[in-house]
Amino acid sequence: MFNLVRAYLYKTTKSKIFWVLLALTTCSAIAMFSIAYGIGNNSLDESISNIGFLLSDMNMMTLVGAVLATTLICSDFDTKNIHHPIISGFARIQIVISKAIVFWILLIVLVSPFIIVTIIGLSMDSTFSMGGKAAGFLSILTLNTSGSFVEYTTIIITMIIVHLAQLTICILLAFVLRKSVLVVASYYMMSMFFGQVASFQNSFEMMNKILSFTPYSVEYITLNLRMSKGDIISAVSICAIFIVVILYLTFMTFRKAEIR
Amino acid sequence: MGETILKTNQLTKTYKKHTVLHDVSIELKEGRIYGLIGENGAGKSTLMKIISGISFQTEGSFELFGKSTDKEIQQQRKRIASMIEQPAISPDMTAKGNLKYHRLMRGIPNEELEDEILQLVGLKSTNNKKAKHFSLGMKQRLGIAIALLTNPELLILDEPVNGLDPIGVVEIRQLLTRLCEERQMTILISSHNLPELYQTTTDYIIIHKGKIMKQMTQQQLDEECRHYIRIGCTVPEQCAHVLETILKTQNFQVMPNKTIKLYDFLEYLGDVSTALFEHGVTLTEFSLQGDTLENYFLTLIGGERHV
Repeated sequence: MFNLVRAYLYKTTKSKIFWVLLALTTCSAIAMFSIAYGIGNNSLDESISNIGFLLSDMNMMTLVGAVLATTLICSDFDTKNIHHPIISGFARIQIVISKAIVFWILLIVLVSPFIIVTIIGLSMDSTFSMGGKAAGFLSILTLNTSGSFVEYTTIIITMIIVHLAQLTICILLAFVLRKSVLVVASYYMMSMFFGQVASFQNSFEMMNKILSFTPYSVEYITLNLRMSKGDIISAVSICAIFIVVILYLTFMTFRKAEIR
Repeated sequence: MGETILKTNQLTKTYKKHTVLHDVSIELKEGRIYGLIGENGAGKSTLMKIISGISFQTEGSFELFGKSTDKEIQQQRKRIASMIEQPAISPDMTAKGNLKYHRLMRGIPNEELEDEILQLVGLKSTNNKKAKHFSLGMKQRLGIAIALLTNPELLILDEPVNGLDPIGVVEIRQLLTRLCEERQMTILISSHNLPELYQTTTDYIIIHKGKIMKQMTQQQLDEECRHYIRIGCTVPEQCAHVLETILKTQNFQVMPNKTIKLYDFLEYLGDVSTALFEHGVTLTEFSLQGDTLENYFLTLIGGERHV
């Protein structure tokens, strides 16, 4: 399986799309950081916060993650490259897990500009604000709560895990739908739906319960240094279980799937 | 005969109500080149897909290198390579990049192998040209190069010379023959064109509407298609004596039904009949028999026979 991971990493990093996505997340991270800094220091008007929030990791990774899944998985169905590992004797579960590992590694690379600007922001003696809007790394950056190095590291790692868990569903979509356009469109619609549902989460107990078992819960997308150890453990556990369930479903759909 | 590489037992594949393969039982032996011949939609690709693990049979089973459980077959697939329907290549990578990707996937450490294989299939000079800019023939060569990377014991190629120019066809044909001879590689090639396969293969599997119509060696096919003069007479011994002493030929066969198949003098029917008549042989039948490869194939699959 190590060979498969190496091969997939080689192929995906040779693709222009990956580097375009990295450039996109880098520009977005810089823009988000600059806007949050500007609003926090009153050099920018708060009305620009909508754009700043749009460029935040939670929004950008929705798009970037779905496109990465299509580059990594759907393109193999398009070009019939998915034939090769099967013919080479790899089990289908190995293919699914290898794709997931490569997907996560590359997602971490793509989200890294947001991590870097968050670390820079936390190490500065400045105020950051996005006019009350916050999710993902933006919420860590703008909450302006001080903490220890271990706390910062823990919260950043937990946020990465939340991102990975949320986007793991793209792997399932890519193996089921196989067409790039369908995967990007359906994940984008799903994320919009979850975003809307999350905003009503506290008004409906049932919805609150359901979402709390997924990484889309508002508690997990607004992680910050004020959260207790229990909340962090709960977030990591939910994400881990969610990932296992999604990968299991992916394997079950791909296990006996016909490939054209 | 070598070791059995592949043996299928009544493989059947059904898509909803449409049966694509029906009780397919074939056997492939080591070091031979098998031509899988059938019209478009006959089930050639489906059979190859099932063997390769891309598709699954509805009924029946098969053994690969003597192993028959799903787990064992999956392990044995490391010993095979295939190119089905169209070459599966990464269009945004060069030929060498494509080979590197597949070399990494299979855990082959030897980097020089990439150049060797590209040389072998005639793609060494493509340098930085991306595969998406290749002609169909070049893509076919790259597909074959990828398949050869692991030095497989069983090579499955679906229409491998599609899109190749005549020189390319000859080169690929020679390459496959060489691989079979030098590396004892077993090759299964599909085509809808029997004459095209005739110069490469050692055995034929004829498939029609999902059913195996015939599996035969080239020798048997030659025998079936060979042209001869069919001579029917009352006393075959007398006829044979005339052929040997007067026409000075031993290139004939006396058949169990007492007819004679004469493989010489095909252009001189008149001379043969005159010689036989002048030496007192009473002829009951005298005709030129035999078939072209295409006609034989068409006859077998129940199509219209060309005259």
